[in-house]
Amino acid sequence: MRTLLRSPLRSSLRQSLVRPLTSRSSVFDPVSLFSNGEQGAFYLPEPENLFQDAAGTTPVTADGDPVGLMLDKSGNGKHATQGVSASRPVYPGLAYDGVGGSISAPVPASGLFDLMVAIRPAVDETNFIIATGADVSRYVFAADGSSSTGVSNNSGSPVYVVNGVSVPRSRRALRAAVTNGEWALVEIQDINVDLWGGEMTLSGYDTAGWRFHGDIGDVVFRETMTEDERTNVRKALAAKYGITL
Amino acid sequence: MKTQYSQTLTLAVPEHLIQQANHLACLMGESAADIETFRQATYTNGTVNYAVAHTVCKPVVTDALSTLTLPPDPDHVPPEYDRTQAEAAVAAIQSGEILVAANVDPHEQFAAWGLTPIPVEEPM
Repeated sequence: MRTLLRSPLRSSLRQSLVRPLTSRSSVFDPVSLFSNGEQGAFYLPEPENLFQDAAGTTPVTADGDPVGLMLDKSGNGKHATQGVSASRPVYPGLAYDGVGGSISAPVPASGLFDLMVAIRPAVDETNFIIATGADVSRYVFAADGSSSTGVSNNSGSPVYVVNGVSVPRSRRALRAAVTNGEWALVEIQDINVDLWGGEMTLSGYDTAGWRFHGDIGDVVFRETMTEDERTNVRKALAAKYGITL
Repeated sequence: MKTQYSQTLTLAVPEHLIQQANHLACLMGESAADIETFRQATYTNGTVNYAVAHTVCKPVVTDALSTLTLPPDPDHVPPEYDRTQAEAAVAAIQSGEILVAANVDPHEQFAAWGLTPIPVEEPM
């Protein structure tokens, strides 16, 4: 009988380094971006907003708990869920193992949106995609070491900004803009979701090598913001995650 | 407070056993959606293609799989669930066709099993 390989019990959990430097922004609350009914969502992956199951019956309370439901704090009710147990990211934050984790949320059927997300690729991360639509042929932020300019597909012509600096539309440039083991603030501006099938999946590319391996923090998904709004979010998330702009 | 999900499981399922593995995942898992745990093969050993998964889990799951003892069918199983399929998956674990490991780094384990990502030039 083939037995399970057993190694000494070793936690696969990230420890305190996953937590940002401050638990909450003290300057600007992204919830205010939706005060006039603006479309989109705001995800804050902290226990009060997280549940282990997609139905929301069992709260996340400890490091290592799976995340099956992440509440949208914008008031739009665009909660993110993952029904498959083995595909759930893990708290703290959203920790992805680079194998098959993802979480999905409904998005409007059409329009232009900004996606601002704090990410920390794992120390051994290679290439990855940050977000896809309902079909993986719709994606944004494809980052690897190649010279390809195919950084997005079926998503309009998004503009990329990392840590407050514009990044050219090439996979190599996107990959070089984020450092493994360090938090980065990724902005994908003016995503056209007309072809996204009403759904956004964070790290949802079902091909080995393109799955995100690392941590995802706060996520702001809002109909195209003004430059002042972008600046406010940028400064708030940079302060929270210790990112130098 | 400590998590109840103190263990991890890493699995590699040959493409032709994906259906059986999904019924086992549903039995051992926590929701009806677990019957769709394995979708497509993304790794290969050069001869056989594998669908893979890595997940946190409770000790009851790793204990059951280490002894190949299936629990009773839980309430969450969907109508299409078939225990005989789950039992077939257990037999495949026993024979070594389905690869399983507990509490390991998945990427290191895939390499140890001789598995590499199925080459994909770029996202479609």
